[in-house]
Amino acid sequence: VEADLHTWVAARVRLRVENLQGQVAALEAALDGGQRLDLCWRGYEAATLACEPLFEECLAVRQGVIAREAQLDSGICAIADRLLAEICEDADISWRRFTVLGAAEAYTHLTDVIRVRFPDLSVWDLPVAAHELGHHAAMKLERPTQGLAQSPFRELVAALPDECEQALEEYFADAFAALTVGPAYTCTCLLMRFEPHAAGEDGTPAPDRDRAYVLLGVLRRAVAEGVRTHEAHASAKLDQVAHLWDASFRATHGDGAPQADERLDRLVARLYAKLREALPSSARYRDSVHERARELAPKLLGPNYMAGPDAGGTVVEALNGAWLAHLEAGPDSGLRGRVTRNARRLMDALLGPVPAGSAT
Amino acid sequence: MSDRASLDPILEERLRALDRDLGRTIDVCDAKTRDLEFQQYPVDADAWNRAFKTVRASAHTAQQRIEDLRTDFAEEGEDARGAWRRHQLLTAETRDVCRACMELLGGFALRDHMPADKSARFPDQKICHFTEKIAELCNELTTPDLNPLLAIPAAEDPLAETMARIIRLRFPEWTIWTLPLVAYEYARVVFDDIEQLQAAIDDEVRRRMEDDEPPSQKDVALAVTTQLADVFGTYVMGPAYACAAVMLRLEPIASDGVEKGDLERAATLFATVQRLYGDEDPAVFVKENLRRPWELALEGVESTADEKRIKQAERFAARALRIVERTTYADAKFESYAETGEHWARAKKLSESWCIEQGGKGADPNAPKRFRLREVLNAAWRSRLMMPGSREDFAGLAREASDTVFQREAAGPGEIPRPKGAQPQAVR
Repeated sequence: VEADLHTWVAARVRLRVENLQGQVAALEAALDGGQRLDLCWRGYEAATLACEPLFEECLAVRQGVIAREAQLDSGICAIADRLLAEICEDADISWRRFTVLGAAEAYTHLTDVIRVRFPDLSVWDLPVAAHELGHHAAMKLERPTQGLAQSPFRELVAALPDECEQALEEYFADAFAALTVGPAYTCTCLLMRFEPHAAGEDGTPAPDRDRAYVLLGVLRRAVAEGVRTHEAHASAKLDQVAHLWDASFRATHGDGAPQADERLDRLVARLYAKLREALPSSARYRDSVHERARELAPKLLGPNYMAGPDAGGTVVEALNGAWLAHLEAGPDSGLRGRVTRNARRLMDALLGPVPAGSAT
Repeated sequence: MSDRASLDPILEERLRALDRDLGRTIDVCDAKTRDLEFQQYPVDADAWNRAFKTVRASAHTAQQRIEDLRTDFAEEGEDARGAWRRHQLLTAETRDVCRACMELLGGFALRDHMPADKSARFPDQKICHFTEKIAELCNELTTPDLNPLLAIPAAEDPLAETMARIIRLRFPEWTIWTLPLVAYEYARVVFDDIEQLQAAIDDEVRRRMEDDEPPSQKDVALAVTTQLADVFGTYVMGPAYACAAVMLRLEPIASDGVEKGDLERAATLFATVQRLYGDEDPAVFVKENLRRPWELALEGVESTADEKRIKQAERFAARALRIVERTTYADAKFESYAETGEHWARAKKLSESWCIEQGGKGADPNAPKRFRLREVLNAAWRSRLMMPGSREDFAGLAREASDTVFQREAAGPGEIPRPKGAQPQAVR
């Protein structure tokens, strides 16, 4: 990671530093040239403000890299890297970066480095990294055409002028994660992250209630199109998750989660269409992935699961297998703990030899 | 677990996840998962535990609240809506605790990884070490029974500031020039521990709140605390503190329309220097080399200070100085000249020898051979303001001189004079 930091991130930071140095040099020239002092001070203030995010990002990334190299992440960043590499390869996205520990999951355009939230170092939180990659995809994913490649996200923004762009980016990142990672991302969001209590009441541009609606909508379309052999099973599992979310929503709001919303239905249709055009079928959740997940689930529920180096498969398959096993385990916390441990063993096996000091 | 609790498996799942996150955080605080091997600056278990103490306690409190929520839900009739609302608060609380832990972890890790060789990109690689020495000195001169403070690099506005008693070095300002401002960071961290200073802040806040149109109590308290920290910093570090604050921190115009109180801070600093040194050389130096450029900057930007607030700050400087004098030991004041202790006269002599050297006249044979840290920092700032073009050279000389001080201290005790009447005490 240290080497990657210098190879990939340093160039971007250096460019930004050079630009800011140019700004400062221009300011110095203005000062020497007798420019009004108040204007120079304003320029200084602007330069200071422009420097702040760069300094913060550099500090955070450097700290994250060191923390990762010291294995404070218990090896979870390496799995997240592998997950994102799989998605990038299948989706033909160039993201030559890595993940580091951070105070919150985040993606910043300044360095493109994705943070994994400390101390969420379990397999259940991994799918959120795909959402952060979705923010990168919003800027970089292209839809091939006869002529110039088109950005599906920019097309979406143009097609929905009444929607807030910030919210659209959030929905886009959600839909991207749902399509590439499949039900595992939806499970993480609905069962572990989204707040039914605050849904729609906190004034955020993309409230959790709407995000849940869009996520489920996009995923149902993906299942209907790509998981034909196992559609009944996949749909039943989605219904199970939707039911749990609905129950929580009902408990806090009195009414259940919204079942129909014209505006969001339009958004779901647009999102799915745009991403479908830009992502090849091999990058989307599909029959073969669901089949492998179904095979894995009972093994992950077993008491003596030992994933060897020949475990094979992908992190996406392992994540979905883990979530299927988790849903199967129900409220039995002992069984869920076993699934967590087994899933982590499987993912470590996918990566090869377990790094020294890595926890399971 | 009752039937009611099992009605909402998602909530139970969330509580379990929060509990798990807090547990991991406590593990880190207990150094159970600390695999970091600090090479340059070893951190012993005591120091680690002190740094993480509040984070650890907050994590335990949050865990207890989770348990309370479960109990209330199962046995006390807490409804789902109320439980989810409490969960939301707990989530925010847990996030803050984990963030504080992460910030500390990252800070410790980065602190240890600053390159050690002088050719590296961090020329002031020992800056954390220097910072801790200054904090230690402040402790000795103020409250020797307080535990020593550790220093870590941090962002401009660390979110978890209140959760750990630690000195934060603003990234990327890891230079010899910002070291005098450590006294300010020190003061901000320990004010709560020193009853007289806290009482002085409360009194001043009360006084200012009696004004016709006071700003919010929070803003007033922040302004008063900042000004008291400035008085403390100037008292302990001498003119170097005022130089660092005015040259590197304060701005003569309101930032983005938000009045930060920098004009009042400058007034506090100049009033403090004036009261400390009267018409002696340090005051003359500050007046000619710091106050004049500051006033020129104010004229240049046509800054209109609120005279009432300036007078208020100057009056408070006088009161604050008396309180700081009473709160600290005899050697705390950076003197103009003294038979013992640290003083400006020796700093000036050191600075003059550096200026002679930079002026191309070779090494000054009369350069002082024995000097102390505060004198080095004052010499550095004096030199910088006298010969701005040689700033980098003076930084190098100051680093070397600081190193010499620390090596001498490491070789034998007693280089820094003990405060009057203070005996070395065990840390608590």
